[in-house]
Amino acid sequence: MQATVAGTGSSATPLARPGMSRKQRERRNHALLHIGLIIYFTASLMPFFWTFLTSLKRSRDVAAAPLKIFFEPTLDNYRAVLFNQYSADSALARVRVDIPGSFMNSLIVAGGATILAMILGNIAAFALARYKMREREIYAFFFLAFRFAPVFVFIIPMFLIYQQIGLYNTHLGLILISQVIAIPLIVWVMRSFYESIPPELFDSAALDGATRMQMLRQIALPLAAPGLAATAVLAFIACWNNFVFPFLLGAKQTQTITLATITFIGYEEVAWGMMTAAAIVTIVPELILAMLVQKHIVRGLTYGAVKE
Amino acid sequence: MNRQLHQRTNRRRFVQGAAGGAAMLGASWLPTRTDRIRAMQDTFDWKQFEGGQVRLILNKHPYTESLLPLVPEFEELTGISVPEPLILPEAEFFQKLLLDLSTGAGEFDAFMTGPYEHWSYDSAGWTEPLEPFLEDPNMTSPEYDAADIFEGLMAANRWDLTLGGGVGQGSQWAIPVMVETYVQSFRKDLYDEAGIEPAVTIEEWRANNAKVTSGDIKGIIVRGEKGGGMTGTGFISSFRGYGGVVLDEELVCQINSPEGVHVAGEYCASVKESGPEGWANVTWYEGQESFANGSYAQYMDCDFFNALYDDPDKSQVAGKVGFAHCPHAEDRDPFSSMWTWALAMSSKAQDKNAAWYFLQWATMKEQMQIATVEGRNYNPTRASVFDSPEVQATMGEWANGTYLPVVLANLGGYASLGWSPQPEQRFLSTRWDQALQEIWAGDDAQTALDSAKADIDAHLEETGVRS
Amino acid sequence: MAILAPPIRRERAIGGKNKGTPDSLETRDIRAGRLMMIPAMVIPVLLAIVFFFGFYLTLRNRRLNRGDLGFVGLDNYWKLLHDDKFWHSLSLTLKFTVTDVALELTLATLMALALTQPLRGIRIYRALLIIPLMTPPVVGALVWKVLYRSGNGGFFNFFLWKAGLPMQGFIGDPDQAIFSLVAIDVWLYLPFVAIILLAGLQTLPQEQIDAAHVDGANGWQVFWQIQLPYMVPFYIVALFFRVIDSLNVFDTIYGTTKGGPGDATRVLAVNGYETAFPFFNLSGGGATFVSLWLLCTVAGSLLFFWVKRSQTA
Repeated sequence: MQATVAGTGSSATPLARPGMSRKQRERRNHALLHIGLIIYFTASLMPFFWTFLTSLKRSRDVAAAPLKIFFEPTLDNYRAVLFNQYSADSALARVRVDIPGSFMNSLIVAGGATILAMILGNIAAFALARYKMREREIYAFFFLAFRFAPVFVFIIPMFLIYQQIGLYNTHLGLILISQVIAIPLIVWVMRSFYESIPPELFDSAALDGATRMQMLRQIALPLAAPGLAATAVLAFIACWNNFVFPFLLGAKQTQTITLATITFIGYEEVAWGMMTAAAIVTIVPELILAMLVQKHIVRGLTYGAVKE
Repeated sequence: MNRQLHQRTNRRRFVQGAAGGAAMLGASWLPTRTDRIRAMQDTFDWKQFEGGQVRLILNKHPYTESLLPLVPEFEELTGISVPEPLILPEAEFFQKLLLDLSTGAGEFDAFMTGPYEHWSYDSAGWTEPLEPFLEDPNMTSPEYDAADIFEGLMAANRWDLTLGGGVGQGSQWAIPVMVETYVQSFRKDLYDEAGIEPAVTIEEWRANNAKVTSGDIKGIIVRGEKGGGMTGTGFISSFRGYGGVVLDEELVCQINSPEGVHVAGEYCASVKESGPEGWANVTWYEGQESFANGSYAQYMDCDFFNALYDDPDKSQVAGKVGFAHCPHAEDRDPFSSMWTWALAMSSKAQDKNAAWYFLQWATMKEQMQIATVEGRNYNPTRASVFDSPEVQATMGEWANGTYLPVVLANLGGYASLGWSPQPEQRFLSTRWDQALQEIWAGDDAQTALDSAKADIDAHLEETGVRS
Repeated sequence: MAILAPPIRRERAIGGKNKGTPDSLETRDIRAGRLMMIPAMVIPVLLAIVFFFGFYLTLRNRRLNRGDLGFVGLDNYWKLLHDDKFWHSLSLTLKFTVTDVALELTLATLMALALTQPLRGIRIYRALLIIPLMTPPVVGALVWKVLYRSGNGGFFNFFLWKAGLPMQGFIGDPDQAIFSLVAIDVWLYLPFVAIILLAGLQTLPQEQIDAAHVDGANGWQVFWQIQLPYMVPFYIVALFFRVIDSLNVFDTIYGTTKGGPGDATRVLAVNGYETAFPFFNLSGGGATFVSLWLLCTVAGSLLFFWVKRSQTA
């Protein structure tokens, strides 16, 4: 029996087949799969590869035709983007885009939004999982329904409201509006994690006199820990990648890194080298976070998907 | 007074040169900065509105870039504070500005704009007329010398709010800081090799483009993206050069006139034959970069892009470029549309006087000179800057010497705003863009343009532009 | 926000004879549950109110450069129904969604099957899978725009050129544009669907497959008769998310073609945006968006109930 992973069919009783032995056939199939997967992943990662390559190019090589695959790399773009150090050769030496500053803004907004949403969302998710409220599915549907709404319908009234109440161009304002993206995601995924906890655990805790919040904190959270990590990362990524909110509801002081990255498009030319360097800087933190919780993201995305 | 300023400028330049080239602008100011501020204070009360504030939103532009390091000097001179401006690329810039102006939020006191945009803003009452400030000796420094700014450009930013006309009279809505005109920028080496001269008529243009297409090099690239200025640069220049008008005196759309159909037909056919296969997605920067990397024999678009073409660090075609006017009817003068970036004041500005002081300072000779010489802000809008030895030296070299003659001829008379003033400019140009894309894809030119005209006429009526 | 229920005494905790009365554990639980929902609901509810205000704006004639011009009722919607461009956008949106989702489901199935084989380095493949999901859509659109460039300076066209094949216009070609855009969306979201399907496959009990093999089924039959039916709920869930997001697609399209060439890629969201902002017709654009919202709500609700039903089945 070769199969170690569910879903494979290689454990068949030997049926007489001409030519290859079972093992040979399997090896051939695996080779084909490898080739297929490599082709897919090459295509899938190609844009990142291009972005990274471009970030190492000098201006002259960036828009060269035919496309330059071999060139003399330079770290000037990263120096400029990360440390605001511009080399003399670039007439774009005057181009000042504050990437470190906007990185901090992104961190504050996405981080703050995630923390707040995790608190609010987990309480709600737990309630949805545990307590048999008649209108339970209405709540669930309500959260899910936010995905239907095009942002442009409410963004202009929101702009006006934010101006009135002084939340415009504030970190708090952006954190609050980001809840719209983060809370539904967290509620929806964590609910299934909590549902999969055997109710007996809670019942016996109740017998010992635990409060509901204690049950959440001491029983549910530890058991759902992998889900928590994955969900937090997913929420963080969604907020980090957002463009519309910081663009329309924020200005210079709250400029996030997604906004700052496109600011390399000038009127007289586009600073592709620096822009791609900024894009890499934007993506790297997300990648790191995702890799850290990588095992759990699959469960995170799918537990939510499955049980819902 | 002027001579003193020039001497000071030369002295500063010497200090900079001695300091060794690419030193930060701020550092090189120090020796003479206090002198300058004191000198300016002697002639005019710059501190009149001390304590005020000017909040800016600016386009990502060489002018902006060169201005920013100088802002601390403004703050010291006037005692007016300027919080860090919001700077965005053109598309996002206009969206953000529009949101602020249209909702009356009033978060910006001054901003950059251009004629086609501020036609919408002016008629909506979002911009503040500037001539009261300009004409008031208490508000404008005697050093300002508004007459030094090209009259045609000041006129382009003046409008009496008449729909369909009236540009050049009425209120001064903005002060121009940069101007661009449109030209054929072609590969002189390739044209010489093929034995052709740059085209005069649109038929010649099409023939040239085809002739020069061979192997890996195609004859022509022009903007193709809808809503990205596709009709607004070379195309409308040719259209007007054949006598076409966008809107007639009754504000009826005339893009489907015989001239309109003729030019559109030849133009789109040529792009199809000798242009990029993905034309409908070509942005201004793809055009510019593709011409500069040697893939195309001509890019008909902005003149000042030549700063890139003749830069050996970035371009493969440095020294090989020539300029010529856009195609036009043989019996007519060349025509070039134009665009000016200009500084304007919001009618909701919190401190209009402070805002004016900033506008004034930012468009004075010193700042404009620095913007062009060091910030590569081309083309400058002040005659003194244009005439200065540094600028003449640089620009005189461009395009094998053909830059200055062509551009100055444009600025001297051939160039004017190609469009008719009315607030629904965006809709009109975008709809026209779409028609050209359809023609390129194979539709009949007359039909496509008739349909566009009908849509535009309907829209103008619906929005009350034409009653 | 701390909800402290009184310590639960033994008898009540078991439920017993007090079950169902106003004072029973269950009722108190339900009450507590509702209270616990409130903090998370505050902002979304406020937003829903703003959303309905935005909807109200579409009942008035509001132009960005002329302000509010009065109440017009359903006039904007009436105009939409008679507007060819609206119907064109609608059909384009549906075409985009159907192609996009069909491709994603098919390819993701293959991917999920592949990733459940005992291949060497399978963990690396799985780790690489999620990378496209990290891309901010705005940045992704810009990158793809450059990748699709014409001429041999363009990334894809460079390889075509090297191979001696004719270069293509991709998003600049009216016939290829919409499919080039579908390609971008598939690139972004195939991992998402694949992960969902992968989880489904992984939770399928191995015994069923082994039993099938004992009965003499080959791989193909195993897939069709065992794996596929088991995965139906997963497909529906993936369908739910992808259909809604596809219908709403904006960033990737506006960031690359802006609806062009001509109007070959002018999906509903692009149509609405363009009407509202560059063309100043806020109410008209808003009406388009509300129509889009209705479409999503109908599709989403149907899929939601299908999910619920397939779970109880």
